[in-house]
Amino acid sequence: MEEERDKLLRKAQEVQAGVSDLREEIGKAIVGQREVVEGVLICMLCGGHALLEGVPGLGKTYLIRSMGEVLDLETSRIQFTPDLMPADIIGTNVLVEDEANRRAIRFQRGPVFAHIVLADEINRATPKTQSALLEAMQEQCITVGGIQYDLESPFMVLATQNPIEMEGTYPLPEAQLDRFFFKLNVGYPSASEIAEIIDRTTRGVLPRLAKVADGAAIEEMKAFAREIPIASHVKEYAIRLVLATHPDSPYSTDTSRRYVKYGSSPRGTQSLVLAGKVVALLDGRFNVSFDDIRRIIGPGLRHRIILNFEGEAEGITTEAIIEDILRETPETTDSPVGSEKREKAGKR
Amino acid sequence: MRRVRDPGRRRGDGLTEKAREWERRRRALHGLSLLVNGLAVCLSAGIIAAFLAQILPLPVHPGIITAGLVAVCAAVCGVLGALRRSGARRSLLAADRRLALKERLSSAYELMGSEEENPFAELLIADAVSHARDIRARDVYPFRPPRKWKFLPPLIALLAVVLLVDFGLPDLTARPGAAVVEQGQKLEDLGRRLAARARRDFLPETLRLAEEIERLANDLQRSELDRDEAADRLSNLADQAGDQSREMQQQLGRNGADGGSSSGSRRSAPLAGAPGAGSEAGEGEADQTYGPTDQPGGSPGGQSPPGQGPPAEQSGRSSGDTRSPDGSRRDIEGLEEAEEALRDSVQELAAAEPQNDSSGEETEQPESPDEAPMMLAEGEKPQSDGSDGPAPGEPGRRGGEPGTEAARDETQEPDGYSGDSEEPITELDAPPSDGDALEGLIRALPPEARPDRPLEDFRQEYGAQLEETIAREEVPLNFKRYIRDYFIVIGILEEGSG
Repeated sequence: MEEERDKLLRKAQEVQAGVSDLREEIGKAIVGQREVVEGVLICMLCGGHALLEGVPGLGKTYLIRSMGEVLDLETSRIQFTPDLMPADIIGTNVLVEDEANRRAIRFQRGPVFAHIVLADEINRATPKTQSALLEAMQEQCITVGGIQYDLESPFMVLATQNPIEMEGTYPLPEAQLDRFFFKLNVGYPSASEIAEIIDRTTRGVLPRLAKVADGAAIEEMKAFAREIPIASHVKEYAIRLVLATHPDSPYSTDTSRRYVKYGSSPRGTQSLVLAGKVVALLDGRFNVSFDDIRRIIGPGLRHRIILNFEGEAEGITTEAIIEDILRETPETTDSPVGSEKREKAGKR
Repeated sequence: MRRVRDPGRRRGDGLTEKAREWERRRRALHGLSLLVNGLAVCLSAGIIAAFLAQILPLPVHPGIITAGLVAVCAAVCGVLGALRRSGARRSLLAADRRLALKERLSSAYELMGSEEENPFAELLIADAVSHARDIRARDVYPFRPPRKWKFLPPLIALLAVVLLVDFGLPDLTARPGAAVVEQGQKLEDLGRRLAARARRDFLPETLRLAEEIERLANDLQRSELDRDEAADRLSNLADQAGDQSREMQQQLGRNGADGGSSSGSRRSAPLAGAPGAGSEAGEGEADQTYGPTDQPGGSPGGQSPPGQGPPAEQSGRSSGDTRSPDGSRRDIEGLEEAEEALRDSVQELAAAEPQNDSSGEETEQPESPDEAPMMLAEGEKPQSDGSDGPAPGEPGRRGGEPGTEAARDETQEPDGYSGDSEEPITELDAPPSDGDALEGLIRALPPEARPDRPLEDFRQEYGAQLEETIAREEVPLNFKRYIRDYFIVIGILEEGSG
């Protein structure tokens, strides 16, 4: 028993150390953006895909490339343009001729066949092209000409989105948005961060990043994190938070009833629970806490809440709705606030 | 096969014991909170009981009531606090929250009871036990005084004050002074007689004063006033009556001769519909009835046709005009009579001993108006105060007002029925007071017409005939009450009959 416990402890420490190393190594290339880096790493350890939204020039692409470097994983970049075709993403069958002048059809893999796929400006491509990623993101395989090709693990799609240019773009449909585990907002760096960026990038040599982990290590970390237990009251808390995003739910708040058209799907609850486990593990604990859930609810739910016309007209953001939900939802259901809310909702 | 306990669960027993320890403290604090709330309620009830004890006789001392309530409250709160159980999980959650343990304890406790295998269970439980070992119960449930705690000292102080200090609140069960009640009864009789006369003769001022006298009489009998207050109000009312009568006199002027002659005719005026005025009961029994006769000084036109009221001038009324000289004079007389009676009451009240006023009992007016005329009906001599009636020109103040010496003389045997020693009244200068009406009637009869037996013998029969006559449709509706009041005043009918 003691050995088992020690083994687990060592493993946990390894995970923490590995993530810490990753963070540190990526930090050599990326200035600031600690929350974004943290979010991407958590997303990776949960086996999910992330959508990064930010204005151009904030290092989104550089971040993903840096991740590929430190993880010794094959990365590919897809620049989404309006004329991009699905075959440009997943690949296509081509007719090739060998040395003996014999022709054959061979499947040429597309850029999606990588461990880390950077889908740059995903909202610029047509929905048809966007949907080409759906199967890959969800099933981790693609089908071309009736033949299924599996994608190697770990597989992670990191998509970027530019919130400025709305003309000539194709906003991601809710179904595709829901497939992203996290949506991370890349903010503008501070003055000191900009100064450091300039220092690093305007000198002669760019930093070289060391490989910290590989795909197998990432897979082990993912499996280890999934074993972290979550207590029933914490799980119920996550469920009530997700249900509170639905306007017709008894757990909903006044804000969600007024401004939300559609709430989060059960994928939102999955993201909260999985990410909570990873956060707990990185925090040195072997249980998920209420704080862990509250910490990752923003990236996990902000892209899964659809506002109604009134919400959009009044400029309400999903972050504001999430904050209101966190304020109004008690941690346990035996508190008076929770019972009063349910009573009100029942009378309605 | 012997079942081996999971070592993880065995090590988790320390966590469970800790949780139980914290839970005991939580129940104790909850019981304390209940006790403080209950004490506040009990003390408030004790204060109310102490106030009630000052105005009502309580069977138990309020201090004992309060002590009993407190004892019961303490017992109930102790039981409730002990019975309230919410489980170890709640205490562990409280510890997690209060000490920022990130749900370590509650998660470990859940794993202890879970049947699912988890590789982290043992690690988590051991971690939780190590954290819980150093946690004291007061760290999880620190003592906070219940919110109502601050109300207890002022409540206790207020209770002590109310128990020890007599606030002089009126005793609701206290009986009123006998003298005050007696005066109230007398005034009630006076007010009733004055009111009846005022209605009969259309004396509005007298009627108003009579109603006030009746109200005052009710207050006196309900012990709403003490002696001093009663005397003050009597004096005020007497002053009011005096002022009013003087004011009316000033407006009217003095004309005694007109007031005497016109008012005297009222006695001899026959009443329409009265028995004896053609009724079957009246014929052949003229000697025994007080029917209208050819009275000296009577108005030649005294007979009124059936169905009509008495002539206005003969009855002293001027068709409802209370400001006619005659009517006003009678109004003044009523006010003066009331004023004298009220002043006599004040004197009697002042002279009466506290709580033992018996000076006026034998000399007071009878308790009901019916007895005033009945005193004469019993064969006793009428009041003999040296005057058969008011002197010409003087207001018709007769003896018999409550509280006067003449009234005391009335308790002696009147001799109205025997028909001796009294000269018949041939005419009256002023309307008699209510108590003298019957006497006056009897004495106004010629000797051969006077009854030879007391009124009481045939009053009932006479009264029945009266009621029957009054009920007849020939008597106008608006006169029925008028006629009945008259016979009530003179004692033929009883008040409330018909």
